[in-house]
Amino acid sequence: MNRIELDITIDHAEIERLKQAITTFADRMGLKSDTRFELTMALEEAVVNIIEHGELTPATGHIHLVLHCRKRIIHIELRDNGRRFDPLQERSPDFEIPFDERKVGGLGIFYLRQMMDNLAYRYADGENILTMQKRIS
Amino acid sequence: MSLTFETREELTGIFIIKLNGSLDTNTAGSLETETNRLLGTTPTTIIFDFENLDYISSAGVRVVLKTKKGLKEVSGNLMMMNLQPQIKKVFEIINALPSQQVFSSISELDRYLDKMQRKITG
Repeated sequence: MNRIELDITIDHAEIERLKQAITTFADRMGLKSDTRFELTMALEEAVVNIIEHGELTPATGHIHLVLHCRKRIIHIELRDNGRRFDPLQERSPDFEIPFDERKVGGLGIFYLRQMMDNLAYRYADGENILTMQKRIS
Repeated sequence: MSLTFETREELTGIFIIKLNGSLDTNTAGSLETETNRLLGTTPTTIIFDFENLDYISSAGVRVVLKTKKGLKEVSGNLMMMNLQPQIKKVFEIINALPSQQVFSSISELDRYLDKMQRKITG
């Protein structure tokens, strides 16, 4: 099967389950280590961001992830009912400043955007919907 | 996946932390506790050995950056070695991997340790 779906609750421990699901998917698709790494990292960053900044509780919050592979492209959809937040509008950290002087933060979203292709965001029916693609190298 | 690490004091004030596993949201805190402990001893150098590190996320990168910052405050150095290609890329894309901060080989590490030892012993 070239598709997985995962419901994630608002709990950091869920990151382990997320990674296991990605590993299962990556094994099935025969993904190479670089694609596998970047997919895992990007999705960890995206989900952690919702858990930490979505203003959700385990009782009220839900995150739904769909991964689907077609023609050597992984299509990803991530939905959550947290605070309205468009990660694509986030300003990138200023990497020209020597990194000791930089404010440590905003890194997760930066990596998400670096590691994925064709990101798009919309807000509908009380849900943040982030769609992404990842080309298989 | 979990993280384990082992710290050894190679020379007085020079620590090598060898990491094993995954440095991520759930494991970065344990490494930060360790680096804070070391920073409390006013070290001259902390070296991260990433040979057995398979994965890193921004939470892990943050601990490395904070360690670097903490070391700078005590005029110490942060060094890294044995970065796997993906992990190297993670540091490179944020411009946080000056070449003088990475040992490309064990012999380079040895030369560094020799130099530091001469400094200590005069």
